[in-house]
Amino acid sequence: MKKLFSRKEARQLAAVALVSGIALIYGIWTFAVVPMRRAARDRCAKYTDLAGKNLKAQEAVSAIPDHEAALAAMNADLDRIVRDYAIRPVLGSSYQLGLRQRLDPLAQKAAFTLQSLTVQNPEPLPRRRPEAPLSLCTADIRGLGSYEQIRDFIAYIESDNPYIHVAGLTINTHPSDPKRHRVALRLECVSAPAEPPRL
Amino acid sequence: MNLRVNLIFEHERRDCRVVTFRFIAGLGGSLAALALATILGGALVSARRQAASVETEQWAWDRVQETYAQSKALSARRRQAETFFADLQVWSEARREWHETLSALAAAVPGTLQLTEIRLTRTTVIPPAPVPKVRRPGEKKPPPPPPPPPPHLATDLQLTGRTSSPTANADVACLRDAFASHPLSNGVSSAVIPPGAFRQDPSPRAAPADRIFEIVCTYEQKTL
Repeated sequence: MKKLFSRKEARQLAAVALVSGIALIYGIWTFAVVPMRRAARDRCAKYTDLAGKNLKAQEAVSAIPDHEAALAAMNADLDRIVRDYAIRPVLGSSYQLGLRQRLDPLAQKAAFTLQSLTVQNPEPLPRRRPEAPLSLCTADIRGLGSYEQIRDFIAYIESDNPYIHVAGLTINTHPSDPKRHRVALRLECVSAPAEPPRL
Repeated sequence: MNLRVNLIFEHERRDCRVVTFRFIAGLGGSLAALALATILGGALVSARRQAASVETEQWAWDRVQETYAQSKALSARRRQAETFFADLQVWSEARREWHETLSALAAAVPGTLQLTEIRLTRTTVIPPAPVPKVRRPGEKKPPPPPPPPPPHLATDLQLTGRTSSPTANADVACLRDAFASHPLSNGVSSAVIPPGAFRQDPSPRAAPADRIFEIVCTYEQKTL
């Protein structure tokens, strides 16, 4: 038999149902919707982060051919400098002989008498970069020549090699030969080991 | 006198209004349930979609990560190589063409003067690194010291000579002044006769008119 409620009981039931409904909605909101929203926010942040990283990575990856081409060009430049201008150790040990091979023809061309040549141990070039593929040799030269011969010798050196600096020069009169002067010349030259490292 | 007789029970009463309270309650409850279900369903669908997107991006990241590291290493190598070449270029461009100076000097020296020594010195000056500020107890961390200034090349040319010309003063001054005009002036910041450098030749065989002189030229510094 269908239970019949009085008007008052029906209203009480409705009030209880309303309160229960509100409590249910609140519970669902607090324990389901809010955590879901939080998780969604976290996922969104992770997605944004990953998408940003991926975009950056894609750009970086697409620049690889450009980097490789630039490095290849610079290595070719370095090879040219090493081949054409750098002082190399002869038979793997002596930078002095390497420089002598370059200077002797120039001295001969200028009729300059090259008496002695000493080369100090190379230092990194540029300074404070020990990993640099090139180094700097300092060479002390002593010789004899007239003013013109000295000037020509220096001119030949400077036009032969843009990577040689005249770092010191002393020209003194020769006591017994007024036409020839004593010369002390200090050169700074780019040098490279027998197997120069790649860039 | 009126008499009102109620022949039905309380629960047998029926509401005669078109929209009853029960109807509104039922409709409201249904709508609330529908809204809740829609929100929850939408959130679930959105969460699944987001999770799939995150998974796709993660997969892409896992795939590209190694190549990205290679690219970064390559980029660092390129930067290092470019810095090296830039430094080498600066060093190469800091060179002075001394044969040109020697040629110009030969033309500029008056015939009455005899140079006995030409001395060119070029030194690389490496300025000291700035000392970091000492931190006292309770003080804030001081800012890092600025990077050390770059090294530079300092160049001097010293000419020593003798003369017995009656116009020695003017001739030596003329040679000094030649460093203020082209072509000897190229890169020269000053040319001076140091105090006491123009004087009587002190050697025992010197005649009373013999003079010795010295001219010091300082060139502009070149930063490396």
